[in-house]
Amino acid sequence: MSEAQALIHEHLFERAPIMIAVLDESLRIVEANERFGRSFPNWPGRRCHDVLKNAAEACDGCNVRRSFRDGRARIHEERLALGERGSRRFVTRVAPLFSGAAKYMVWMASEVTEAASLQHENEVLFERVPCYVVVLDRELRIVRANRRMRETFGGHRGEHCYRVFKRREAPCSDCPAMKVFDDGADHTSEHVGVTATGEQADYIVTASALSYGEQGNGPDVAYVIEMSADVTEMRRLEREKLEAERLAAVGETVSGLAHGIKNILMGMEGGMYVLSTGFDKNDRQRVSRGLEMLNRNVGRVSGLTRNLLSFSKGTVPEVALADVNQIAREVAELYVGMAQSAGIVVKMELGEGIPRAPLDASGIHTCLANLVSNAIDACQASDTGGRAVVIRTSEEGGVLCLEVSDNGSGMDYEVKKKIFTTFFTTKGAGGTGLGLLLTRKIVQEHGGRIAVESEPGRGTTFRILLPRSRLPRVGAGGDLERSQANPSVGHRV
Amino acid sequence: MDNGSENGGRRTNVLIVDDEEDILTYLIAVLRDNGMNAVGVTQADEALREIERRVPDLLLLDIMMPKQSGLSLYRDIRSRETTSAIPVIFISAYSRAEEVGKLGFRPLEGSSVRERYLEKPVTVEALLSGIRELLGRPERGA
Repeated sequence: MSEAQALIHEHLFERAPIMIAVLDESLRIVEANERFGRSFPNWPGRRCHDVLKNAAEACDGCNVRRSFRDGRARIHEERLALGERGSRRFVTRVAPLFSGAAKYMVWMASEVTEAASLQHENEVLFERVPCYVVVLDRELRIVRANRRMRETFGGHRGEHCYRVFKRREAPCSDCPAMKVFDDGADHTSEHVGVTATGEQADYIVTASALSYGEQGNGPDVAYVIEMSADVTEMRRLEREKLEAERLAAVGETVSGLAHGIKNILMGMEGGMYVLSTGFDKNDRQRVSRGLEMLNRNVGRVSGLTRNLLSFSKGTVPEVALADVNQIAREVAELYVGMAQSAGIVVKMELGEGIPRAPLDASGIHTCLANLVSNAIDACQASDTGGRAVVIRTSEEGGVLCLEVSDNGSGMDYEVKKKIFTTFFTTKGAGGTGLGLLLTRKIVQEHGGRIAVESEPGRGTTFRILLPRSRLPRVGAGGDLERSQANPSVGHRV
Repeated sequence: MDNGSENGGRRTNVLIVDDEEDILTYLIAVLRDNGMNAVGVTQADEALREIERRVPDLLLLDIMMPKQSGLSLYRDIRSRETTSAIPVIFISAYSRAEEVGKLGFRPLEGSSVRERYLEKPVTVEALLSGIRELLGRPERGA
């Protein structure tokens, strides 16, 4: 043996992490590596079936004999008893080593016990995880689907995912799998599908690259795995809660409406009294004062009715990517003149680099305009100097914040408690009591909430908090192009 | 008509607190037409100043007002020795039950003899009979 041959023998044959044996035509082992020797020390001169299986005869359908006959390599799986280590699984390859008349067979076995058990674990995980799991190819066809998926959506191999999940004929516009194929990163989005039994299913999909192709440039994702958590029940409860809140709001509205009307009625009652006693006393001044009071309160009824109608009709929110700072600037522009003439400064402190967010810009404009208008009123009701309204925007931890602060009159506890009640107003004839209610309605439609801090004599801060994760999706409630072409123009109630 | 004879030669002084001017105009007219002195203010702090100037015989009090509500003014005067006995008529567009439920309105202990609750819209008759019950003397019509 040359030096090179010796090295090859030493490194490849002896050190290979697999068992290697060389058999002659009578199945006798003529050579074996160290690893083989460790498991089967008494191999020299014995036949393979004797050494490996402790059997007197060759195995049924012996692959070594078949390969000796046809000269082809073969791979198969078998179990071997390794003494103390017990029975283990191996993948075995037999390959002919023919040279002239001499015929040998190389037998190589690598253990797959661990890989097999991992594979089994994966199998159980894939099949039994309480999620819908599908593997998709680049054409969005289902390559594999787990049990929950098959049972719920009846997904079949080779079908398009959009057909199985949603009974659609074309991919969804916000398909997370397509995004993964594009950029290789994980993508998550919420979807509504239709189950095999025709019921609605809400689920949150996370799509990840499962394996990569061989081009080596760019993401080149070959398969995507989509794991979907079913949130149908959660969404159902949320809808029920919203419905209950709406019903409660109807009750509030009726009681608030009665409140508003009773105030106006008292004004009318007063007008009637002043008018009729004016006639009795033949007091012309009193008569005209009574008429004024009646007129004013008739006007209030008309105003209330108009606002009530516009509130009950509501508007369809048109969601598009919008810049909160732009909305803030527009609102400030609307009010700066009016504020100035009352000696009130309107300031802006806008956060920098806030990414655009899917909003109904017109709705948010209305909210902010209502808050700014209220803040100006609060400043007007206060006697202190240096009165100012500040509009702030910021984003922290995925929550957009639009804030309107004033250093005006502030509110005491009772007033604060009632500010979101329909038709509640502290502005006498000057308010309809609908502004804050509408503001809250719009904020809630954006999945957000509105917070208030106020101290009598110190001022008030209203904060609209909009978590990005709960914002509506672009295009919801209207078509995208239209809403983009229709920038926020304020409508106030 | 003069109400002075039933009041030891002095007219009944009434302070009215309501943020709506029309309601003030109305109530002042009714009271004056019935021989009482009536002063109207639109804010709780003005009311306090007025009370400090002269403790009224009766307070007509709207509950929901900007800045400070009628309820906090009510608690305020009930807590002061010089004003704690002023009879109060609440005038609110909410029913009494609603005020109790939503606003936590509670008449103070032992104060019921000095208080009445009138729901808007308040008629002349309801107002005058409320005053009669509370002050324990007949008020004559105009």
